[in-house]
Amino acid sequence: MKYLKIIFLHFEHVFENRLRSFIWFLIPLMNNLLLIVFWKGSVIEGKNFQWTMSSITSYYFIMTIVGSMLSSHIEEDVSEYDIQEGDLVRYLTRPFSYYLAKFIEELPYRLLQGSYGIILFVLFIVFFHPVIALNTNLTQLPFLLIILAFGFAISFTLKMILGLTTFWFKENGGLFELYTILNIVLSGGIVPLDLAPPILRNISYFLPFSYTGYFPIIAIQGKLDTIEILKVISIQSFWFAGLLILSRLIWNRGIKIFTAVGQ
Amino acid sequence: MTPVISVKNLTKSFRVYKKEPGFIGSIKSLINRKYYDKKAVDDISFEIEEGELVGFIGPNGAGKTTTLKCLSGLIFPTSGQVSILGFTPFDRKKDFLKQISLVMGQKNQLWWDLPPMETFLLNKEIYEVPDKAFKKIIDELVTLMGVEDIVNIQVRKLSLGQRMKCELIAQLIHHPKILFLDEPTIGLDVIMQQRLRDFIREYNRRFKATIILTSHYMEDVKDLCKKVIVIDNGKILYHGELNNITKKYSANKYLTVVFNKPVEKERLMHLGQIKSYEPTAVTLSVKRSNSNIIASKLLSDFPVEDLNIEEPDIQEIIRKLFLSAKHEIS
Repeated sequence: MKYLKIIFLHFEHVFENRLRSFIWFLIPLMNNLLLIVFWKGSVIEGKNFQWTMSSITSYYFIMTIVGSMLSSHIEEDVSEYDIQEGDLVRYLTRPFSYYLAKFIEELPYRLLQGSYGIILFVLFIVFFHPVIALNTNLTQLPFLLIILAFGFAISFTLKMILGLTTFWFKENGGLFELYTILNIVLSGGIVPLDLAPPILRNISYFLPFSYTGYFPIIAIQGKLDTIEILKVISIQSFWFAGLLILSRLIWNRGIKIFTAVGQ
Repeated sequence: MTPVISVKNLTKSFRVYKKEPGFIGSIKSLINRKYYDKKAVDDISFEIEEGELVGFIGPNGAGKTTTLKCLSGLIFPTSGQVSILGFTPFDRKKDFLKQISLVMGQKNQLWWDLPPMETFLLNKEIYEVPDKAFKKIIDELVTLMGVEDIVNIQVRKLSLGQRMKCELIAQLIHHPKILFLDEPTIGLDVIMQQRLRDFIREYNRRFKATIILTSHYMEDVKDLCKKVIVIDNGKILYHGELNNITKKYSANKYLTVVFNKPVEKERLMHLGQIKSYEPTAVTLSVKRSNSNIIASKLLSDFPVEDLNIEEPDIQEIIRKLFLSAKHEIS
């Protein structure tokens, strides 16, 4: 009987967080569906194969660095520590913006991560020089830096929005997981978006994720001319402005229902 | 004098849901959750003047911390108006935040892996304190608190009491005009509690800061606060001088008498209610208005060696106050 009671209690616990169990069910399903979609696009319908071994190797190598530099992971901090455990109080009682404070807090970590990547990258170039394809057009360098900066800003703001949903949904681990998978796929984390099926590619180009990973990577690789780079920057600035406004709106509404629990 | 803190009809409700116990209750809750509003603070009003040190007393769940959170701009009131130094706290204007400080005994705001001095320096930048003013206030506060030796030691290596002292200093670097202290002495030993109380008193005196203090330790309140606000179930039961609480809520005084010869209990019974008795000592509870008359009678009719007229313990009065409030509600 006691074991039955334990089972029922666990059911009760699961039912407390209605959305979570459903999303956890969806995740493996989505993983497998996406793999099918990718192989359909890149292998069965593979018509756009301008990628060489060198560019593919460079792509994944640069992705490692760009990912560690530009992909913010503040959502759990915002969700678990700041909102759920009430650490947000530290920010609310001081004269500075929460968004800006978190942004600044995240920078040293990202720069450190990025510098590890750059050291590794330099070593790799030294030993495997012929394999790496890089943008050698120095006039594009300032634009590349802008693309990277916007990439980080968009990634950060998206994660901030995700974290802020905790004002309403306390158990959003499933949502974070779902986001991570979508982000990996739609930012070109599995394959370069060029190789993805057209529909997936078009969706990716339309959404902000590709501007935090895929486009910064191919810009570093030198696959974009200056006009294309400027186009990417203008789309990035549009997304950044939109997401910033959205995060502000969510913050303004969410903070009104913040209970400062744990304090 | 114009109040620096003004609260009018403040109410704060939280939306909570009730779940029936057991598996069936969970299924029902999964499909149809029944929410209701729980009032943590219920239509309270009060004013506090500049330089006052006011104790906020109440049992767990009374609404003390919720009120403090509304006053410091952390949470959005359901209804009512709050004005602190002319600002609406929830707007969290920079000029407002630069004039307040919230210290929570249960929460550490110091950087765990760095020495306290690093947090002091960070707060200096955040609050834009000029170098000269920072040096002056740091020297003053560090000396007042007696933490000269520990400000450069990693926070994680400090004791709870040392951390709390540094925590207070960190929150005072910008000279806040309003200080909210939520259980600042919680978990500290009696010596450390006393040091912290001395510090708070001195800070209040020296800087004319307005301080609201919540504490479960009655000693904190008795030692520091002339005025108190007693709150329970979200409602204010009493707001005024701490000393007046005894007059208002206790009709009796205690007479503690030591005799130089044994006295029979029966002889004392008509004088008042006997709280404790030994043949050579008795404590009587007598009507406040009669206490002097009874004292004279004792001195003239009994072999008195020593006699004290005492107010009942404030903690006892407040406990009775809470119990009577609960009784009225039920």
